[in-house]
Amino acid sequence: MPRAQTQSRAPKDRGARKPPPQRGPKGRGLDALSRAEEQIPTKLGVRRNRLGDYDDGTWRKRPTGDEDDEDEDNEERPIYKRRRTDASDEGGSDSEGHQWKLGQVDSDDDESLDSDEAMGSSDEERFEGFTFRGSSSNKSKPKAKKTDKKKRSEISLSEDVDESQEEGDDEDDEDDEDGIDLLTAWDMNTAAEEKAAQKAEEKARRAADGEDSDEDSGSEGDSEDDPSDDDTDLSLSDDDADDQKNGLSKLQDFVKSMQADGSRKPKQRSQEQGTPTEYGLTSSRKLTVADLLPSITDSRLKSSLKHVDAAPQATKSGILGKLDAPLAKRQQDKLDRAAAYEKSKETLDRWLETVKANRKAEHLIFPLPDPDAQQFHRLDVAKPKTDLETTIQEILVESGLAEANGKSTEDQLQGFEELKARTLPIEEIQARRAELRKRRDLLFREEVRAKRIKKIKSKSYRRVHRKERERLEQQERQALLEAGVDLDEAERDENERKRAEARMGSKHRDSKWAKSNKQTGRTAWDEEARNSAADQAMREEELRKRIEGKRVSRGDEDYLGSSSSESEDEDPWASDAEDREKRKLREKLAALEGEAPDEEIKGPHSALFSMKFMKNAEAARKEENDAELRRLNRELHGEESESEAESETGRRKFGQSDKAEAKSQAKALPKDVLEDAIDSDDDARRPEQDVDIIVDRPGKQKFATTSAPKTISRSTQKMFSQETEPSAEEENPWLVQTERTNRRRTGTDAQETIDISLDAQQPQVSQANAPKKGKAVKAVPSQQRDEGNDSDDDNVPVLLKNHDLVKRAFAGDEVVQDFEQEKMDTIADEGDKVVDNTLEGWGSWAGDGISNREKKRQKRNLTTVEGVKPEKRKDAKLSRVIINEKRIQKNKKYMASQLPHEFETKAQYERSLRMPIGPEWSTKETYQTSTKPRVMIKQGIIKPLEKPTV
Amino acid sequence: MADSASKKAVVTAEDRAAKQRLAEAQKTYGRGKANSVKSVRDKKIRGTLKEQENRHKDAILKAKDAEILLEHSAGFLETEGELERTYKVRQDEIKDSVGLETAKKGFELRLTEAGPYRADYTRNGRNLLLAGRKGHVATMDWRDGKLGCELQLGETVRDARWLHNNQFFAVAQKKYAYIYDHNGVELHCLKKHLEPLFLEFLPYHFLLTSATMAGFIKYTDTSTGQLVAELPTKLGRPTALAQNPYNAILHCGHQNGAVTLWSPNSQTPLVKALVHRGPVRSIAMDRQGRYMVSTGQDQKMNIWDIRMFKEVHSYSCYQPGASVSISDRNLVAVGWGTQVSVWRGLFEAAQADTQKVRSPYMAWGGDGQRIENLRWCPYEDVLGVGHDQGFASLIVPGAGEPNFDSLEANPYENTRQRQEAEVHSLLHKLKPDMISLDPNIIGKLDTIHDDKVREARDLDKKPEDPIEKLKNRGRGRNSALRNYLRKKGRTNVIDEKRLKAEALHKERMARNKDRIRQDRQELGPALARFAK
Repeated sequence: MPRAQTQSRAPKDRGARKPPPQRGPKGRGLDALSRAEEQIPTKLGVRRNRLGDYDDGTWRKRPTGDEDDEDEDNEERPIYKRRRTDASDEGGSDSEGHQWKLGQVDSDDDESLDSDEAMGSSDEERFEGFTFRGSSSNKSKPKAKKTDKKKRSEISLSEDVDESQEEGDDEDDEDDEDGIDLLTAWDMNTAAEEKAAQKAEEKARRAADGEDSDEDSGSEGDSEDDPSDDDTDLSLSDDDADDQKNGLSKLQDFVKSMQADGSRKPKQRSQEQGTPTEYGLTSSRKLTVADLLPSITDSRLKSSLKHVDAAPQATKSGILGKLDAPLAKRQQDKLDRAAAYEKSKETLDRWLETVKANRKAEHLIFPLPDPDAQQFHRLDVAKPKTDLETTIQEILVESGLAEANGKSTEDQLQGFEELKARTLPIEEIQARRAELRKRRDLLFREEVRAKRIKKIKSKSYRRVHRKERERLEQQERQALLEAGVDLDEAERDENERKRAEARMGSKHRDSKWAKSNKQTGRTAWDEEARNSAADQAMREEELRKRIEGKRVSRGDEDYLGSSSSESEDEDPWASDAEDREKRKLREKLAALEGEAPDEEIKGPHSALFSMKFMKNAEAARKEENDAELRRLNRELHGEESESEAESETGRRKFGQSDKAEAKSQAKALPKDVLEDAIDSDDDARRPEQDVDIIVDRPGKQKFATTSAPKTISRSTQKMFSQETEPSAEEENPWLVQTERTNRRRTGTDAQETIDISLDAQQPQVSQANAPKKGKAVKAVPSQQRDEGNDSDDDNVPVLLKNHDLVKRAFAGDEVVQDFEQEKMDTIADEGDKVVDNTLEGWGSWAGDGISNREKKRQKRNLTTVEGVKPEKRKDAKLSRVIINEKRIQKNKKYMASQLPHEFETKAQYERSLRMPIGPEWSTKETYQTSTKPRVMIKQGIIKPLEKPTV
Repeated sequence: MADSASKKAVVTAEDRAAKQRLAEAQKTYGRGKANSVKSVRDKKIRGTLKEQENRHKDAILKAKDAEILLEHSAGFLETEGELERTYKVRQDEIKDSVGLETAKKGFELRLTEAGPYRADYTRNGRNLLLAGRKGHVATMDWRDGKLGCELQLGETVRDARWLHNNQFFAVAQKKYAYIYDHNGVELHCLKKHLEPLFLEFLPYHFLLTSATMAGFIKYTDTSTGQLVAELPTKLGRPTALAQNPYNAILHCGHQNGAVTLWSPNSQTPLVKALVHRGPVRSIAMDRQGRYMVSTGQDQKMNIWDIRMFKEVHSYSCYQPGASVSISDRNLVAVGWGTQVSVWRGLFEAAQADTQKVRSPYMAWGGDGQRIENLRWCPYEDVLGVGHDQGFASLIVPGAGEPNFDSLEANPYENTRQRQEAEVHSLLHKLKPDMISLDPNIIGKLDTIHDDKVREARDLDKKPEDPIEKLKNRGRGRNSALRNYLRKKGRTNVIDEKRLKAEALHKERMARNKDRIRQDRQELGPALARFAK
């Protein structure tokens, strides 16, 4: 350590020398030396930085208020204390300061606090404003401080100080500790140094005594900095410069004096608590020669100091930049921890894949298989090694099952092809390719077709087309508007049509008004309502007629020629947008339909294609597609028929719903129906002209037959019957169905009797009915079967007689009644039960002499125990069965009381139990895999998993 | 390219084949529908479920593949022409046409002295037990014709049963049930089984059960010797007893035509069904536990679906069927009077809901031997008929399961294997508590308890709002809401509930008023008074 430094530090040393014995009892100073020795090389650096920063902050803050208060406050106490001690003991200020501090510390018991802890989160907030600025910003500080010291003290005195007291304490403690260590360390310095220091201290003390206490506090920072200054290289260089430059002696003195001031301050400071030593450390570092330079007014001095100014500046800018913004230890540590965590996480994350894989693995085998070993796969054909193998190989080769060189025939072929291809010209290869492509296309033609059909079918396709259509319409309208065509008319038309459609539908009929009319029967007495209802009916009628008329005209159009699309498009009715779209779709479908496999398949594989199974597959595929097409077609037309049907239902309803109306229009109705019938005839005729409509015909007709109103006149009925007759003659699936269900019912009723004997005479009929035993039942047509049943009953009079006898024999038993009674009892027993919890005499009188009325008045306390509801019983629909609904308690212990972990639903859990593991229910292989342990350890050295690289 | 195209086609064909194979395997070996994995949110569960499904699929495919090991195939007697009838084929014709060894399986024993015989086969079909009514009991290895032991008990014997193997058998004698060993040495006297009429043995539970004269059903554990359960039927003397091999439930027939289902865990019958008008004579269940066939004194043979407890078909007999038995391959043998008829495809018909089967598959008898008891021999196409003149072993093609599972029952076992199997079965013995109508109940989730647990665990659950409940119950003067407001003891307590109820009530009143006003307006001044 350079001399200058030690000297400059001397005052403090002096001050520090006394405390140890005093602190002895406290047991802290004993190992202080060793601690200091430990700390000096390492910790000090850090501390210094930190402290400097803190100091910085306080300096900054001071003028603003809060922070300085603590200092002031702390200072105030020492003032009168010192007064006292000064009287008794000269050098006591130091020691006293310490004593005082000790007491303070003891009372607070703050020593246990770590610096990190002391700087709690709240503190952090508090110190947020303390940006850790470099010394450059503080350069002018000392001076400024000096100038406004007094003022500040006044301000601070006037201010109230409580909040930061504790905090200050904490910091103080720490500082104190540090200070002690350092001091003890300095104690070890040479005697000469001590002397010099003593002198300086005395001087400083004198100065301090003369000065206000405020001044002490003010210069605290500087003094505090000193110890740290010694250690920094930076300050070292500064001091070296001082030494060399005699011209600086004055300045040095000045600095020294300041330090001397501060020399007492460590103690004072410690007394004053508010300002930690660390503060001083940094601020002193900041107060370098360069800092003081601006204060020099003498130009000569200035010039002489020029190089001094320059040198440290350079160093400053170089090193200070690095040390500029050291963070508080706590924060630094936090960052360090975060970084360390990141690092460790990164290293640990490398394991992630391994761990995941191991977790996912069904089975783990240790020692782990060597991954390198696994890579050895046989690439070439195995060479026969043993005699046996060679002989087998020979045999195989002889028999043509294996090639001598081990290559398979396919490989050879491929190789051969490749060779050939090399020699061929490129055009030829391309031609071949094209040929192949074509063949493939032929192969998958149907599939492609299916795809297209699907596309047409899809809703999105239609939507897209609708959008497109709308856009087109918009454009058209725009064009019209631009051309000056009056759209109002068209609009009106449109609106009217919409209205008509609404009336056509059930919207108006089902309106509130109409309903209320119907319900209240208001039309019967309210003239107005009747009128309006009649009006509505009239309008509807009119509309219907119009619809009819329209339809006829449309039919004519179709009849005349649906190919003239232009005229259709112009027609406002026919050129309904939907129609257009449908037509488009239809066209597309037609195109698809027209696509016939006219091409004969040629080429080398034609034989394959002409094979039966290929053809079959093709045909099946085609059939599917065709069916799809047909269905689509039907759908397209079905929509139309549906809408028609709707209108028809509407009409029918109209006829039925309002009887008054029906009466008034009784004459008109038959005619309508006739018209309708004719219409349907027309429909029937139409298909011959238009192929598309053929599909929807049967459905429509059926509708007409099934939904024919009851009020139809005879003639129309006849007509319908004529129409329906052929369809009845055809096998009607519905009728067949009902027949079957009928038979089934009888089957379950089991009233028919079959003789189980082998008597040759009895089963004659059944034998006749069952030509072949195997398919006896299914092959027989339903009617015949019915006959068979009947005949069965007829032909077995003996049996029947027997049954009668049996019935009679067991008639008296009343078994069924008993059974029913029992069932009722069980239902009652297992159903809801009402329990009477009433306590006699509770809240009322009980005992003899209570009238019935009073007894009745007593409040009943009833509770219902819920059981199984009669309708929810398992046997609710089974008349001859009683199923016990009680839970069997003994079974319960074999059930899972709650859904086991991992499973989300009952189904999942129970599914996991479905497959039994035991060897009785599964193959050996399954059994073994399902019972294989997850971790298997083989004998041998199990090495730990290797650290994953990367 | 063409190659690749054709390859593709081939691949699809292969796929189809694989799919078909899977579907077939699923049909025979699959156990229920797969869980839908897609709906599961949790990744981990999804993973495990997927894996589980894969294992399941793998297992059924392997089981399907293992079918190759089933060397025997099943087949029935088929007719060549339409006019031929299988039931016309007589036993001697069959014996002539089959191999010598097979022909040996059909035989008759004339035992005229000791009265109607009851018969029983061991589980592997190797040994036969004959018990004559008048006290003659004999065991034999029927294929070799070797007599095991022969006892003349000198008292009424009502039934006899093999226990778990051919080493022991139980006999229902006049007063008690006894257990003998293969040498005919009496081992135990089961005094609790007082006057037993029928015996049954549940092989997986080691339970010997009897229906006693007094109308009790008693269960004795033959491995520990303890009486497990004693159930009063309360329907008098039982007329039939049979076990459902699927779930070890006992079906007991009664005098009044009822069949009751019993497990040792319930003192009351699990199910009671009125099957016949008149006493039930005999009951049998098929191997899969789907159908029950019963005959009654009312000359009917009823087929019930015991999953739904519905009668499916009913057949008439000329005489009451004395005994019914169902073979492993669902042939139903009915003994009525002196005749035996074997029916085929009864359950298929029932399942398909088609017509009843019209003619039997095989027939035997009519020689004046009153049929007492019928038993199918396991793993053989043999029907044992006990009658009052002795015992007859009939050959019925296609009756038995052609392939045996040696882990289940091995017809060719040696002593060592028998001993091993005994130990194994004892180790795998099921507890009587496990018997239930649904044998899959073990391990299933107890939903009621689970719900409770869930409810207790769910702390965020909102308490039920009583007002909400009142809201929609009743209207008018006696609505639940008004009742609530009116109720005594609550009038002075103003709390949230009450305020809510009051608000609701007020709202309702206002609405009502509004409606009435509207009605009045609508009806006009004259009729307004009728508005309500």
